[in-house]
Amino acid sequence: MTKHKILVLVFLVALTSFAMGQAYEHCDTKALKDTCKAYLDRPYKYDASNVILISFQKKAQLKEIELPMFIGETYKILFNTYALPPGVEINVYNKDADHEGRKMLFSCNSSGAQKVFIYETEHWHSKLYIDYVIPAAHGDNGATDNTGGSPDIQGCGVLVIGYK
Amino acid sequence: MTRNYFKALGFILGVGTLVLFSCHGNNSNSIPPGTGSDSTKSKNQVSAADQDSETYLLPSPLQIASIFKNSGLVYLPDLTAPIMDVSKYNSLYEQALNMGVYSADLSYCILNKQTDDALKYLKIVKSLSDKLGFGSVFESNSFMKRFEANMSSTDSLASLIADLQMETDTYLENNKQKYVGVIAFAGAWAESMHVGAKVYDKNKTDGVSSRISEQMNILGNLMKLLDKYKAADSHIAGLVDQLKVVQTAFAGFDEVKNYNEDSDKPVSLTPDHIAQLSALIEKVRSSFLAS
Repeated sequence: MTKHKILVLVFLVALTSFAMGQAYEHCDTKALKDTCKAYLDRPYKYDASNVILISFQKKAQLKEIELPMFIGETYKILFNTYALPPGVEINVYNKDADHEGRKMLFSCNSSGAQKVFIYETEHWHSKLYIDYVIPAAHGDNGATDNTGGSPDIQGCGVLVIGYK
Repeated sequence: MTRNYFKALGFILGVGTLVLFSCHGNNSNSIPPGTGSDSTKSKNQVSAADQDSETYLLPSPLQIASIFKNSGLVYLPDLTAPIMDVSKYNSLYEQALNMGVYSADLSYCILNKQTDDALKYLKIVKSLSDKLGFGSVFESNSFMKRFEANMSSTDSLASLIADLQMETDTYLENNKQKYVGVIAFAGAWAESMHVGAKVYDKNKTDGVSSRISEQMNILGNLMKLLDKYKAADSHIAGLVDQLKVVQTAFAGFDEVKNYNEDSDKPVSLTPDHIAQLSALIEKVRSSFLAS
């Protein structure tokens, strides 16, 4: 009887630990955006923002954001990587991913100690393309095999755009 | 026997706790800002739209109004939409669309120091936000009080509207209602283009005409987003059809077909083509106000 109770308890504790280990920390997008906004000092004003959700897959992924720009306007783009898992690269280009010979204008990543990055545009481009390069799943970074159903989210990247 | 049982239980719980903390892989003990859990959000459910590999950003109505203003757009009375009783707008689609229209008018009035009219538009935008379910965005940040307290400063009012935009964007994102923001933007875009085209028609300012053609880039992104969210609301398909007429006409102009994408200037439309675009936008805008 005692042995039986112990086995049941071990099973319950293991089950609870496993279940809670699968829970992920949500992205508090408001807090992440508020952190970015603190860097938008006057005369810059908030214009737009984006939240990109990260779920590792077996292959590397590219998520591209297209940002139109207006002639004569100066923009400040803030990247908050606090909630990104390490290894994610963020690159800004003047053309989309299908264009060979596109120019990289800015780059940062989520691996270092710095968590908020700022890019101030210097020249006009009709559009900017912001690429989040997500590495392939490895070891314990929580990859899914993407066989259907909702993928688990391992983190999020927030960007905030301000204009002058 | 009972004492042994509780000792074993304590041991197992202790081991279980250690296992629990060691399983939180990447998360460090010092939790960075913005990564706290929120029990009101649903877990693990990510919509297909959230997982798209491409995203198109839209500017705020305030920025559109600002670039038109900086290009010489002056204030003309009676151009903005008449303020209607919000009880007229019954569906989410009508409420969102007209909230966008009035947001564009709010921005136009603020930047042209028409503060009394701006306050009227702010109130109706708030009323429509209440109907759409996010009036709390106004209340939590005391926007109305702050607006009224800063009526003498255009820059302060513009900053407040920009802050309101951010709170609204965050709310819609967190509540999986980004499509509401996209519908609202369609209303704002059409209203901004209506004002720009009407002022150009009267004053023929070069700066304004180049902004009109520049805005057609934005229409392209808007169409892609509406297409992405068309399953979210049955009216979006009709909205896409209406805007497609404008987009198709623009794409058919010779100066657009011959435009060099590497140019450092936007397309330069002829006055006749601006007039054609203006007429098409008027038709779209009128249908929004009638809805």
